[in-house]
Amino acid sequence: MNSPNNTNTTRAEFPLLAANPALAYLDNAASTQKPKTVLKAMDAFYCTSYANVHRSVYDLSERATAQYEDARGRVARFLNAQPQEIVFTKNATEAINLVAYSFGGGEVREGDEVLVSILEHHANFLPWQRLCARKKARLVVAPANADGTLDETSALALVSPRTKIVALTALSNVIGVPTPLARMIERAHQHGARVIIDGAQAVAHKRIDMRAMDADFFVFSGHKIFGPAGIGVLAARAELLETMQPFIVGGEMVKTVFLDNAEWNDIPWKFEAGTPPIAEAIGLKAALDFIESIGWQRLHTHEQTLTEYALERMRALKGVHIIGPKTFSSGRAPIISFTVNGVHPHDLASILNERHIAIRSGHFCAQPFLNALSYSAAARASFTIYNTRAEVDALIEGIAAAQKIFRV
Amino acid sequence: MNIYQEELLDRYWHPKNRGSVDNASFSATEHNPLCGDTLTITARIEHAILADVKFNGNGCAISQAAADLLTESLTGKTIQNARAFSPDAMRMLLTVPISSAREKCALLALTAFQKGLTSSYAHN
Ligand SMILES: Cc1ncc(COP(=O)(O)O)c(C=O)c1O
Repeated sequence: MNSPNNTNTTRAEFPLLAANPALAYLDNAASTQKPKTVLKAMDAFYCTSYANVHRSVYDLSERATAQYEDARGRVARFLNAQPQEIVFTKNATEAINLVAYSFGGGEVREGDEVLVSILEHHANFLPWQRLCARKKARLVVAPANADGTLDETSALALVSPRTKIVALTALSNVIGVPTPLARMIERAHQHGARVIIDGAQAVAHKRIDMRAMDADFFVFSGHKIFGPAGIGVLAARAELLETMQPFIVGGEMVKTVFLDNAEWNDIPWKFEAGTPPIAEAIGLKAALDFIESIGWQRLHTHEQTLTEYALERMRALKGVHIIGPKTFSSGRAPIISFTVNGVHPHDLASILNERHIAIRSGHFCAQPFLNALSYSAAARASFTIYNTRAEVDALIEGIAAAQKIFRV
Repeated sequence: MNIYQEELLDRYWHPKNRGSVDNASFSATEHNPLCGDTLTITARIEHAILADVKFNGNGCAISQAAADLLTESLTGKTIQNARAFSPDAMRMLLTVPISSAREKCALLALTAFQKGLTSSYAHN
């Protein structure tokens, strides 16, 4: 059993962590380290089956194509969707931009509204801000409660017949708290709006079921879920993908090209112009195998134990202020943002770095949210399956050491 | 090596040049996109000499100490010498080693100052 009290056996499966035993990597909300199985899968693909996909008749290309499409099937199973509903992108950001351009561009008209929340990462904020400016539509921002959680009553009330799109994060990358997805999605659909869920954070902590969730679009990045950087996923209802125009045009996404027009390829390939991240798709498949081999229950137990422990120890530190809810509640992810009186987050991160502790400092690409909570910058520690209680202890000691240096 | 040496912390806690100058010839603000910190430099130029330079804003110990050191060092310099004040000169002034991750913090004040100086001279 992988208790945070004992030596963490999962850590050994991550070559970078195994090679750096002194490192406490606590920036998993930004990106996770990669297990051996992911690296091996990509290496094996390059060593045995690499070629471009969907282009040639020779065996190698067929093999590469089969593996790439097999990876798509794996993602579909992971999300409980159909393979044709899975579009590979570069990352979550590109997937959201795709939806804003291809779906928003077709559906949103002057005077319409796009509803986002104040909790959004810039990736799920700027594409909508730009779309609204382009279409003379209104960007409506649902506020947060004083504790940083989504103000659900206001958010629900802001959905109206004018709302064309609701873009909402499933889990805040700042406070680690989930949003009330089911009720927001139901409300949006009652008013005929479509919903895009930013799953960049949620996907690494909870099982996603596209059918049960009933969202129209769901996006995530491979690199935050033990997969390689350079691959992301857009999962979308097939009937919506069918009606949308392509985002980027070029090779692979087209059936026939004439001098003055072209016939697009079928979904999902219509949205995958150019040579895709082939090995990365195969790496993502291995990453999904990895997380499911750990098992959601074991992951939850481990994350909850660590989060409760870290919150408890941080609450006990004088001068440390936890952003968002200070106690554990169901669904809380192992993401804790905080400030330390008298120590700027950058200085704290530098001092922790000297102690081989990697945390994030800054605004976490959520400036509107941090500003709404009256912060310009903060520190963030985020954990996953390979982190330990001892690493939480090291973090606490490091914060105390920084307080000593800054005499607070 | 610990970059948080006594002298740097002392500058951070007790800056000599925090504030804004009267009758400023220019004011320039720079943001650190990494953390959202903002720093404003104001300066008064008299007879092509920086008669007074001050900074305002909030930020980390590095950016604040650097701003205080810089404004002190620039005061009394000719425009020509001030314009030649380089990032390397800023690093020398700080004396502690600055990692590439903290470059933005260390150079925030200098960037703001050079921006202000350039724009004020573009105007007249
Ligand atoms: C909530 C959220 N949305 C979107 C993103 C963007 O992810 P990426 O940079 O991989 O596109 C991130 C990660 O930085 C995130 O935390």
